[in-house]
Parts: sequence; C-alpha cells; structure tokens
Amino acid sequence: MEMIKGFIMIDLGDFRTKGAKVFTGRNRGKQVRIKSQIEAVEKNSNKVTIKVPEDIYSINPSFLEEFLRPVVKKLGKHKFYEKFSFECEGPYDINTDLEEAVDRILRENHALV
Amino acid sequence: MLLYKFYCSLDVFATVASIIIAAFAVLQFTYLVFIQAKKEKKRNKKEWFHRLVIEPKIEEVYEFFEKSESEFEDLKNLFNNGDFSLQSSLNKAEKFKVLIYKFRRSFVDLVDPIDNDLAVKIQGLVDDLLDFYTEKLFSDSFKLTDVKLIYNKFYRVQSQIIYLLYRWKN
Repeated sequence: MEMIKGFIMIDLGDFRTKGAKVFTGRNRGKQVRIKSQIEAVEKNSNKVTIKVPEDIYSINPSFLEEFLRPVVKKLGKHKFYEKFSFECEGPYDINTDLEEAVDRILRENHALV
Repeated sequence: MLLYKFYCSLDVFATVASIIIAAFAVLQFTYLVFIQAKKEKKRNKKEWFHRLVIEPKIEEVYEFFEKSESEFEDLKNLFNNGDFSLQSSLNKAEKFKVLIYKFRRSFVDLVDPIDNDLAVKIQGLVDDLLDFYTEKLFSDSFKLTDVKLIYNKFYRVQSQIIYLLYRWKN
C-alpha cells in the first residue's frame, strides 16, 4: 500500500533573526535551508506551504536562491510550483521575487560554460 | 704537439658551446613567440567579447545606473517631505527590484553563457546592493543618513561593475 504523504508547513518566522523584517543573503538562505530541512520535507510530503510572517516585507532572490536551490533543481519549475505554495500573511507579495529566484536557479542548468 | 692538441680541444669546446647557445636561443625565441601568440589569442578573445557583447549593451548598464540613482533621489525626497511610510518602502523596494530583474535579463543573462565568472560577479554585486537597500529600507531605525549610506554603497557597486567590464584593457 502506498503511503499517503501529508501536507507540511515551514514557517519562516521560526528562522528569522530577531527584529529582522527581511530575508536577505546567500549565507542566510543556506542556513535556513539546512535548519528547515526543506529537502527532507519535500521528499516526505505531497504539498509544502511556506508561511511568511506578517511583518516580513522582503525576501530577496539572494536568499531564495540558496534556500530553494536543491528542491527547484530536483523538481523543475512546473512541479515546484505544484508542490510548493507560499502564504504571505502581510502586505508583502513574494511572487516576483520567487519567479526571479526560480529563473536564476534553472538558468544555472543551462549555462554553456 | 701538446699546444696543438690544446687548441683543437678548445676549438671543439667552442663549437659545442656555440651550438648549445644557438639551440638555447632558438628554444627561447620559440617559447617567447608561443607565449606571445597565446597572450594575443586571449586578448583577441576578450576584445571580441567586449565588442560584440559588452559594447552594444553598455547603454543598458548606464541606464540601470541612472535609474537606480533616480530611485535613491526619489527616496531622499520622500524622506525630506515626510511622506515616508511602510507602503512607500514596499513600493520603493518593488520598483528597485523591477530595475534589477530587468538588468539581469537584458545584460547579465547575455554575458553569462560566454563569461560565467563575470556574470556571477556582476550579479553578486547587484544582489549585494539590493540586500543592503532592503535591509536599510525596512529597518526600524531608518533615517536620512541611511540614504547617504545607500548612495555610497551604490557608487561602490557602480565603480566595481565598470572596473569588471573594462579590466580586460589592462
């Protein structure tokens, strides 16, 4: 019998630096990727929701690239958007930044050199 | 007789020495020509890359710099007029990101397949500027002196990008 994999939520609020209103930087992205175990979460669930706290106003591509690289590379654009969703509780809209990060990650695969 | 033998051996020694010196000179010449040709080839490649890829798009690089500067000017005016709010921070961040993403598509993506190292360095500098900008913009203690710091950071990034684009000439 095939196990029905569940739905998992990653709350970015659990990984924010105290008082920070933004997520920036490759190092930070890597740290959150490791701490959140996003790769294992992806492997063990059908749907993943990433919750963005109300008072987070920017998540830059430098952060998102490192945070999401392995899962985007593994799933590809289409499957990634099918499996992952983002829930922004505040006024920040992540879509443009997310698309930019996903494009950049996938562009790496197409580099000629 | 002894003197004659001595002269003969000197003659042989001189001949052998001159052959060795000549061979060494030929080797050195060949090596220098080879190194020169290699350097020339590398320089030609860089010149070609610059003429065909960088120069036609250089206007877009300067346009990106001009529009970024105008964004910071606008931010300074907002601050001076007391119109600064969370919504204006969100708008400013969004507008600057649009500029950066457009720059990536129109310039960095073009450079990337030919000189990945250069593309990565330029993108890294631009990302660093965006990170600095958003961190300041959404800081609880954001003040006018931070706008000056943003300008300083921008001018540093600008000069580093220009240096990267023209360093092949040195």
